[in-house]
Amino acid sequence: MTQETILKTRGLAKCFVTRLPFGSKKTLAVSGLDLEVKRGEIFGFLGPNGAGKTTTLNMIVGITEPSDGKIELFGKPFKIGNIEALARIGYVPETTSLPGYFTVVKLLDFYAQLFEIPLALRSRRIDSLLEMFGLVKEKNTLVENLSMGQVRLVDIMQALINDPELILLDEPTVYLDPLIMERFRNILMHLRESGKTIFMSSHSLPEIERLSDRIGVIDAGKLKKVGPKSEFLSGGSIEEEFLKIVKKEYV
Amino acid sequence: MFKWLKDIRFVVLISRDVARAALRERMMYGFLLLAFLFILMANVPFSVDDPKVFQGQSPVVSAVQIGFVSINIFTILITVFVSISTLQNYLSRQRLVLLLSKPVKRWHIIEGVMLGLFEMVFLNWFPMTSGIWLVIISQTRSLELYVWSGMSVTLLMSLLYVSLVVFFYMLIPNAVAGVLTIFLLIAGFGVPFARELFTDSSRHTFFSKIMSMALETLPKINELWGISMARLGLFRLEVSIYAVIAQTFAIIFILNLISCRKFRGFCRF
Repeated sequence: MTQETILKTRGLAKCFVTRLPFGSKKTLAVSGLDLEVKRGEIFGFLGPNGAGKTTTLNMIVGITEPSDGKIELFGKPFKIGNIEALARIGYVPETTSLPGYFTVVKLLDFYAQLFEIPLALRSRRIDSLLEMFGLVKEKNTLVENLSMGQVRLVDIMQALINDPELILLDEPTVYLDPLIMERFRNILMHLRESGKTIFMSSHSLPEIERLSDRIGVIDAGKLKKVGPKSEFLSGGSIEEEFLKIVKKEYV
Repeated sequence: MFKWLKDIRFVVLISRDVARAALRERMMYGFLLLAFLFILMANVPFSVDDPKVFQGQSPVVSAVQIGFVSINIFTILITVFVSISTLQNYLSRQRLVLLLSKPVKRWHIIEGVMLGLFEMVFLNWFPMTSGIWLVIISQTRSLELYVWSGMSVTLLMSLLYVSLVVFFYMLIPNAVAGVLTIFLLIAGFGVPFARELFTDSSRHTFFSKIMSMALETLPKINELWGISMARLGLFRLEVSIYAVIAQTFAIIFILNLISCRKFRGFCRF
């Protein structure tokens, strides 16, 4: 049985142009990226700093406009402003600045309203998320009074408020202590079991090794290797394989 | 069928969030406190016995004048400074990325921002106008409702200021946008004088024609103030009320359109 392709990119590229007093400078952030993510899998997206991971995610979610190439989401072409596709996606950016004047519940409610979720379902979903992430006690705490790890959890919770089919996570484990990390891992496994597709970009090789079904390595804007986790483990560990791929580039 | 209702819902939702963010700006409360101190001074004309002090003017007129000047000056200060500070936080990349990844259109965000800032200005204008109104009521023992209709022009002007701040912020996303807004307001204030200068028949050059046409498109701050003052009974001025108000709304509409268009570029990360 072939699994449905949820996300597909073909020849995806992004070139940033910086205007200088005399002329302009072009930086190729992503080039010729071909990716496919199937329904129900966890896809680990690895790469060193500045490899183009965040730019790729921003293009997929319609924040950055690609310079070239195509994106298909849920089997349909995706362009900036396609709100039907966005309603089926949950996105956790690398760095966010959540409004501190909201309590956790009010913040989740605000984002839920952007998805036009009916009131009764909204409160049910918020309650279940608070329970899932262990933040029931903090539900009426202002976001500005939460710890960094808790804020990161709220970041992830807001991405799940619409019960998305595709979850895009950009460095989700930043600021998470081992205890919360363990809970986060369980949540991801639970989401996968319930049929969600997860695209996770990370530096954290152990997390990718534990959680991913398939892995893609990007470096200098180009996809260097993509395949099932087993292919990356043949040399010993993902870390060894990753360093082999990335170092080759620098040598 | 009710697609526009859905659009309005999104705009209002975002505007409430923006207003909430704006109301956390501490400098706003500083301005509001100062404004109230000035408004309380409107009690002074009623307690001065010597009519020469206020050049024979009735105490009510002097009190309204004090209120008019205070409300107008502090509305400009609150609108420009608080709006810029709010925009810098609300339209920061980290905040915007979350909103852009949600199923909302870009124009929902920018219109929500404008409406939110206007809500914040309204929440400042209302207590200020109530303040001067209560001072006058307490002294005259009669409902002086013209205070509200006169000061409502200030509210229209604040909508114009908000549109200008957002427009300039889309061009230059920093505090310079506030400076440019104030410059344009000063220019708008001087329109009648400049118009006289450029429509002088002895200097009918191509340049003067272009300049007089350009002047007509500037917001007529002076004339708006004139309408307000005439409603407040401070002066008997002959100002074409409907034409100036219609032109102000047209400028606000055009500024909104351009800001929506510019916002697309603003969001290109």
